[in-house]
Amino acid sequence: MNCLECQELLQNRLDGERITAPEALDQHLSDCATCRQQHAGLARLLECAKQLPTPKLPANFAAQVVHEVMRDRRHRQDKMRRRVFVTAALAAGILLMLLAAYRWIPRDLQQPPIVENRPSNRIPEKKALPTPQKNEPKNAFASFAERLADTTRDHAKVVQVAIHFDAVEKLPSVKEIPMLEPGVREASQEVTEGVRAVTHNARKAFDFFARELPTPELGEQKN
Amino acid sequence: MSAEDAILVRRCLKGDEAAIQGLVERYQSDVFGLCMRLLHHRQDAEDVAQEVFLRVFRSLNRWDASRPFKPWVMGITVNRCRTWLTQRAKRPELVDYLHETASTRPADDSKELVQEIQAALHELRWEYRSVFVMYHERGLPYEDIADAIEKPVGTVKTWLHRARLVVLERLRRRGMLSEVEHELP
Repeated sequence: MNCLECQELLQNRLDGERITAPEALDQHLSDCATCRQQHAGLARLLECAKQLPTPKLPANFAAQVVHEVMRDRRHRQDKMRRRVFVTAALAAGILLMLLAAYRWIPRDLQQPPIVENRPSNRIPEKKALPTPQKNEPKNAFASFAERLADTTRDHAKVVQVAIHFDAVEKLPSVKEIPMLEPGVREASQEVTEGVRAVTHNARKAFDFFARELPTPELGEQKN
Repeated sequence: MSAEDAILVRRCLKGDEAAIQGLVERYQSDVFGLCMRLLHHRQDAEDVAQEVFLRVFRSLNRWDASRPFKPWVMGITVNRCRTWLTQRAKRPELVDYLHETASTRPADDSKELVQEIQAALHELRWEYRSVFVMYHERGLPYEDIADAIEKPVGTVKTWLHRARLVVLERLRRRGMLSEVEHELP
């Protein structure tokens, strides 16, 4: 047995493992002073290593660690919750923006650009008929405009007749009939207020229709 | 891994504070002892030990239950200590060095030798020191040390043998083992 083999076996013996050739190792140790001294030194070293002082734990170390761990957990949970909230808010914001864009961007911007008509041999494709959903508001708008024009025309006729009505000048004024004055004033005030609300709502409705209805196509405008 | 560890880990994952306390108390001595020996500074050891436990509990759900728990914790400890030492090397040197407070005092005749071993340990290479401390102080078997430092068992054995020889050589140079004679078993 040489010194190298001896060292390996020595380590096994020092670690308390079973060695294959204990007699050969002992024989080598009795012959080789270097290995003998090393073995003795290592045995002493390991014996002293067992006596190495155990570092004393700080007071309340476990409690401090638990406190820190719990605080860390809470902090991480809060962070996670905040992250989820921010992500949800962002998603909702983006969704709202998309909805708003879909709702308010003019329809003609969403349509493909009009290509100039160039002479070609190709048979022109038939225009697709407007869908019922698209036609419906258009018809409603047209009938509304027609009715408005009729009403205005009728009103104009009445006003015109009234202008040339001579008896108007002969009618007594409200001031000349003091008994009627407060009642008529109140009635006129009420009518004014009532009409104002109606006109306001009508204007709003008209604005809404004007904004929301799709712009008539060029071909239809001409018609 | 013992069944007790498995139960504690499961309860910790559910957020049971008592289980966390139990797990810390179970491993605090090993973790703090290793930190103390590797860092050679009490305050640093406290800080790193606390950080080790924070990391252990943060990554508890990533722990492979088929592996033993203690080597996993010791592996995290060794890695944190190494990182801390790297960071400390970049900072100005700390003066407050090793306030060793022993809970178990060595016998009087070997007290000087034990102190010399401690001093020798701090001169060892990082790998040798961690293996020496885990084997001799914390009593981990070769397999667990290999698991902790993610090296083969053969490497652990070699490092431990070299660590012993370096310490022995220092003790000899200091005249601590000149009179030792071999006694055949």
